[in-house]
Amino acid sequence: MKQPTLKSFGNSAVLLEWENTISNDIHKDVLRAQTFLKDVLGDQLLEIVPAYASLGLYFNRQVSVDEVKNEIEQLLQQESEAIALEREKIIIPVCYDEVFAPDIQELAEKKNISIDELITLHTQPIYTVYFLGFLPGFPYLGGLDSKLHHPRKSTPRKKVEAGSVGIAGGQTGIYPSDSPGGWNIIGRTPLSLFSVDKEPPTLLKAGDLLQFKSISAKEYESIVKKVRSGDYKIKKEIVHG
Amino acid sequence: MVEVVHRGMYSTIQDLGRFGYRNLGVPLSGAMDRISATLANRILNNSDEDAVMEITLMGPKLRFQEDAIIAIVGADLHPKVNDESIEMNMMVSISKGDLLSFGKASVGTRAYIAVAGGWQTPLVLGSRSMYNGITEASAMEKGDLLALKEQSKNIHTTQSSLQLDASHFNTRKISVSEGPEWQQLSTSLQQKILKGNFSVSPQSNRMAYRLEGVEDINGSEIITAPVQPGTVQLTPSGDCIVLMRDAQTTGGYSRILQLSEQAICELAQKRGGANVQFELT
Repeated sequence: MKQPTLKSFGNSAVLLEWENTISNDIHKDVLRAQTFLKDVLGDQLLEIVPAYASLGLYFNRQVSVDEVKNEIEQLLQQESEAIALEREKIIIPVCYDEVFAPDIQELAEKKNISIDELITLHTQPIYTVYFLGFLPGFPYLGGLDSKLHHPRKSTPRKKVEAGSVGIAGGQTGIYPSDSPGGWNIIGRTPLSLFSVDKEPPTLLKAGDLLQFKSISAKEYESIVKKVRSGDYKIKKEIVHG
Repeated sequence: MVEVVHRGMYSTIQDLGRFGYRNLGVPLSGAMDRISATLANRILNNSDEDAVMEITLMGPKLRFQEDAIIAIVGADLHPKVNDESIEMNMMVSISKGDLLSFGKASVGTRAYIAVAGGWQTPLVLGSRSMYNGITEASAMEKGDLLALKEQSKNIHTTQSSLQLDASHFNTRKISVSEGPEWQQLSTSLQQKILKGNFSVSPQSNRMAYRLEGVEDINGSEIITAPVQPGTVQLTPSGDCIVLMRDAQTTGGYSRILQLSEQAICELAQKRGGANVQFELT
């Protein structure tokens, strides 16, 4: 693991920063530090928030940030062994039918490919969930094929439905709740990404791997019913690395 | 029960925040002015974590359908019971049928109404703080009925009266420490920001306070990274944004400064047009 730089972030938070780039290798170090520090810091650590190349650690107010910063520095130096990461790969079913995908045709035309080719390009990669942010449960995903990179819409929609799958710039993402938004919408998943009635409330977490699977409108409806009745079993497997 | 007869300008239930879910993108939320909220609870010997009602500039009208004991701390919104003025910063007994109402805020922006035992709105992910998409209600509306804990008539308050210094409401100094990207700014830009007289934009809310009036200060975009209440973001177009309690958990603009906990509470009492200056400690 590469050693991060430590900074105080106000009176009760510490920030760990790695090389300032978006890459799977750097992100793995963020995940390793998260796993390790959560384990060793115990109750004084209230929350730990990963991002692309940094990790925010929020402490309770009794903790002296300077002291805990030194403690973390020493802990990380002792922990030179690679911490094993166990990651879940989750299959997200997506219906790319136009009724759920108001921008798919326009995007395919602009990219000079067929809709089927677009779906193949979108369902082939295994994406990394770098972290959740922006909205509760919203995954920042890495791994979109560069052939599908496309700027966000010039006029955002007032309402994008929960479950909508979109593309903006070099990113693809899923809206966890109804929200205004400017992403190009190319499909919708029947799965619920965020629900306060579940523990944890999100389907995804930082470090998960994710693959989209194309489904028909009929399958979409049937999964919606199963999700509602609690009978849908999310397809996931454990990946080591 | 307490009936919301008029919702006021913006009234919500808040506690100290929703901890443990920021890694999932769930904002912290909680009382904007934690110091006032905590004081209101302490006057009633409540726990600091008990939920209070946060009211903004123009208060609500509340009809108590049962006896209750309350305390109001924070901005002076001129509270009245049945048209008679009541004291702030101390315990007040309310009788069944009483109407609690408010005038217009003369000092500060947000006041906190604590009730003995705390407001009993639903706990969602460990907190009663209202937030759109997390709690069923994102603010109080006319006709809402709010549950109280059974009120004990004989509360023993050791601190019958607690008061905040006037400086809590009228200080112009906003105490800050260096943010993660502060050292990336040129010395002249740092000086400009620290010497600048900012004014609070009317477009300020529980998510963020915007500070205006200092020209030619420009930040940059960063790859998205953690932010927290009190983080001061400087955008490439020169917007200076102080994130408040309902802020997102991550952000993509340079984080130049970080407000102290007390400074967040003091800023939360400012309204559009107020002048402020950063003070680096």
